[in-house]
Amino acid sequence: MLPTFVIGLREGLEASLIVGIVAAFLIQRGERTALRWMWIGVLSGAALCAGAAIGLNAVGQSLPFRQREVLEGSLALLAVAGVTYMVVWMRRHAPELRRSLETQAEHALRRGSALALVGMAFLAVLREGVETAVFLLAAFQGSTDSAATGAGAILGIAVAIGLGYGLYRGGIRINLGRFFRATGFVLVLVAAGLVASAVHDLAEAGVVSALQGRAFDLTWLVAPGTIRASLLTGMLGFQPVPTIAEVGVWLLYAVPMGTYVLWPGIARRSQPVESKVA
Amino acid sequence: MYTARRHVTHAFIAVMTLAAAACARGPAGGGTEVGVRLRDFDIELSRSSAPAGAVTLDVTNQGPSTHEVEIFAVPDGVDADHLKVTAGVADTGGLRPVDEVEDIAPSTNTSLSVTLAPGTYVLICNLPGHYQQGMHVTFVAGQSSGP
Repeated sequence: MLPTFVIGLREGLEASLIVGIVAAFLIQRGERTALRWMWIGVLSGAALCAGAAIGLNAVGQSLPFRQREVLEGSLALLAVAGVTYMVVWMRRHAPELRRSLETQAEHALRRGSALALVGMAFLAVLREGVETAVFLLAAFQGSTDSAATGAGAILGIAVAIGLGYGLYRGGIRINLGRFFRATGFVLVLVAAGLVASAVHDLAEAGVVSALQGRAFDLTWLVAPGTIRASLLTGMLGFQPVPTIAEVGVWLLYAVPMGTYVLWPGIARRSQPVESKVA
Repeated sequence: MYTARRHVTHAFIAVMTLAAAACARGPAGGGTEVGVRLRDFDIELSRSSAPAGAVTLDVTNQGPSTHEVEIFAVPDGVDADHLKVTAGVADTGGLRPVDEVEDIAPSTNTSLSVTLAPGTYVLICNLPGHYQQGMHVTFVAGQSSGP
């Protein structure tokens, strides 16, 4: 039961983490309409993946490998863009900023970006969703011990959804802006992991072929098959034996963005009311 | 709620389209069936060669560990059974990826359909430590028996 539990946990976390973050962010900005669209999108996405997996299974096909990996890599990069946007937005708009003081242009921009975030949550579900659904199907159908195997898989995904939900609830209480440095830094780590995952997927598709040597051995930290590995891989994108390319892009993203988040005194638009720009 | 129903309808249509598109793309489910048995730590095939073309791998993991199966085409001159191993992971840079299925839990069975041109292939489980403990096996797709 543990083997399928850790797989379900990891796969589930990769989507539920993004959804939880987007949900908390939207609520903090008071974008309740966008939030409702997000839930609709997430449920539709899950249904789509389940349907695709069932459909594929019925006709004895699998998703074409190269296209699947390219798609997953591209969706990961889109997620990076979305998380980066959230980090930058939080950096520039402290909690002191009141919505009523925004100009019309800013308001429209926020609406547009809210919809983009909704789209991102939907795509996050799609990105790993079909593979996860296929994995679930195999656990139930293709197992000699389908009760335990299937139960483990469902439990893993359920825990992942629970963690994502907990993140959302915690996020709306924490006031993302006030504790920006801490939450912003975590978001930077998540995004850096997504960049590394994108490179990982594109390398599997053969799109990226440079720097594929192994950088170092992280199996002491990310031992395949353990719950800790599921958490670290699902949330932060850590691989057991990352390639030089993966480590390189991780650093390329994490170092500048981490500095941006943690450095005190970088120009902030948000000081109290008088800084409001027309 | 009207909008929710509209979305679910769209999702349903998208699913059917996706399934249809996948049908058009992938190799015909069928062709020669090759049994692949995974264990700690080896891979055993029910046959070491098959006619080129559609091949369906019927993969069973007898465990107790979780495994994966990656298929690569092996160019001439490369010895896929003695790849360089770094930090427990085999260097597959000189091979051409064909397909893979990851996260095969113990006591589960899954299937992978591929289309193989004539040539030599290797099936590997490249989780840390698995290759060097023996999880690799070569396979030959012969000239397809044609008209």
